[in-house]
Amino acid sequence: MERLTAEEFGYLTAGVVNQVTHFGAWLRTYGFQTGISETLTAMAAMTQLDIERMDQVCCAFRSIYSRTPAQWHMFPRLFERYFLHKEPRLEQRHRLQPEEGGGSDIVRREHAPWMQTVQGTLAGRHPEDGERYALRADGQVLQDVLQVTRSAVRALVAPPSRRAWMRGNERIDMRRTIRLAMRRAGEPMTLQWRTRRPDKPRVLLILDISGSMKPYAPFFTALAWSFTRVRVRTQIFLFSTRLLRVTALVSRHAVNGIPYDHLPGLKGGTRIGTALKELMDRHGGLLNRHTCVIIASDGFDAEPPLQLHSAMRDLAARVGRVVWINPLLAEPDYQPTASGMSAALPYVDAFVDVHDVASWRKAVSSGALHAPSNGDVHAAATGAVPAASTGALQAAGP
Amino acid sequence: MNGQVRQLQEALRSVHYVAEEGLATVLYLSQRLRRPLLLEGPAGVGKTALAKALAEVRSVNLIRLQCYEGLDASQALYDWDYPKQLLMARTAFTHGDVDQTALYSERFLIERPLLRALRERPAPVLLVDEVDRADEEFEAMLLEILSDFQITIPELGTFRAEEPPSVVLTSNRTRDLSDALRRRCLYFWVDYPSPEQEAAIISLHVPQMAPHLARQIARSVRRLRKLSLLKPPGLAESIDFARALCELGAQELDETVTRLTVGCLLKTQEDAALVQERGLNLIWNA
Repeated sequence: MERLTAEEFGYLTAGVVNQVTHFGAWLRTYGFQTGISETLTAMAAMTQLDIERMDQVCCAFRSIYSRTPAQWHMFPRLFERYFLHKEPRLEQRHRLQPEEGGGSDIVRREHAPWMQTVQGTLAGRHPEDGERYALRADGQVLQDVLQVTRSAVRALVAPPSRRAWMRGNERIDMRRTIRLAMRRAGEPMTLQWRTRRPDKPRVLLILDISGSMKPYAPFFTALAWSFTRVRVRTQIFLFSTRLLRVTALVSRHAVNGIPYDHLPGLKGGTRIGTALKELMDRHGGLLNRHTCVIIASDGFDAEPPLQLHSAMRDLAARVGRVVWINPLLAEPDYQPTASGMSAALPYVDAFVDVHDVASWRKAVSSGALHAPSNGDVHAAATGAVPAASTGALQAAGP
Repeated sequence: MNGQVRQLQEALRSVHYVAEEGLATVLYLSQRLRRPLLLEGPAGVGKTALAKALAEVRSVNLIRLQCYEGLDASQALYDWDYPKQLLMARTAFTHGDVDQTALYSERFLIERPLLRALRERPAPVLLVDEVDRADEEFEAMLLEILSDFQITIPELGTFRAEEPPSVVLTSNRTRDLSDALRRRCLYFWVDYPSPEQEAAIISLHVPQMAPHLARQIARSVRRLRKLSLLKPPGLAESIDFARALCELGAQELDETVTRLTVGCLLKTQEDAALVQERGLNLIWNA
């Protein structure tokens, strides 16, 4: 196929048109949503630019065809490939970063456990082998997770029923009533009532990133990322031996990956109680009755159960809802009998299995995230797990 | 054409905005093609400042619409002055000559930023700031304005800009904007500047600062950005840091000065703790 060169610009107008038209179509194969309007804009841009300067043309085309940061960063290579015949080069291989805690690969392989998870057998593979990133969202499921999270948040922020508003002691808001009456020639046709502005819900997502949760890290990172892309006040925390707030980090880097050295102080082991206490001490302002705390952990805790018990008791008293998502719930023979899990369960409003998109969808549709309206009646009605009241456990997953 | 892009670059520089060639080219094109310019990028890289600089370069007004959740047409487009209308209607009623068309005339029209931007001459720069914070409904409402530069007021008719304003939209990507909006705009991803550029920007804003110190600040800020902080320092923080050093009369960066002024760069407790842990020499020894 004929390609555009700087010399041809001046002489082959039809050739230029042809090339630019085909360029738009070619970009579509790389996920760009280009149409006639982009092609026309590109033509118009060329009339305004020095077409001998391919860097300027590239710059102009980049602003016309790109619509997302990903496309923005990918575009120059595609432009070069199409117009300047530059084929993509192989990227230099990066040396894998050593994991925290030291130890050689050989030692690790000797201790490599057989791990059976709901996602398949990870035989002979240590979860830390060959990974550069502590957190990296599973790119395949991002959009699906985002869609489910959107519906979860919609339910979370849905206004309460009319009955909840009208309690019989309302007063007329004269200012708003008169202001509205102005539109109707001063006749107060509709009375405006003084209402309290509804408090917006807040979601705290607390992710366990200890070694035992490694197989699920890509999905939970995608889940955390999805909460940063929806309209709800979200804060994301990581914990293993301590607590770390990473909302902005996840929002910016979860898709590309967050390396270990960007998460200081998170060492091996799990201290859930200490992490929750740190949450209450340092971020107490985030905790109120409109807060929904979602803890994603398998419940394996290195501390005395009393620590977690008291932390959970205090946390449950301060927030509206505590949801514990445990990926192990879907395991056929799993029982939450670990000391940490048993200590936490009495204070958990919903205990659900979430380990992939399907189970996340199921948990959302079961109403696990909704704030309880009257006691835990909704949970009883929907089948989400009212762990605190009944002690019964039920997996939302298969 | 090169000359005009360079002229624009120079003009922006004269109002203390350093634009790389790519940004200047796209800005030039957005003016020539009359297309809105959508700027995305991390906070504090000069997206809003570009609109201000452009207004200053063109010597026209800057009309700013700050978006937020719940922003609606009556706050962004136009509204009617209902109290005045009511007063007028009652007065006219006592005289027995109520003219309904007069009640919906220019006299009672309250122009909000978007309508004002379309009607003002010379055409101003319209900055729709943080458009991602507005609701999707508002974004849909913007489409007519961005593509045709017109607003329809049912009682008065359609207002079309005789001279379209230069529109700059900024977004911090708290949510994805719709494709319809994106395709009406030219797009530019504004990234953090290179250390050389940043040093030039600091020198431009704080001329009394020694060049070697400006370069050192640029390098240390770049180091901080690599740490993936919760709130990485933007250009505004670099300039604040430089100003703070000048105010304290510091001739060079050392540990004491850095400890006293690190609050200009780091804005969360977590970030401060992280940098303390890594050592402040990360900043002063850059």
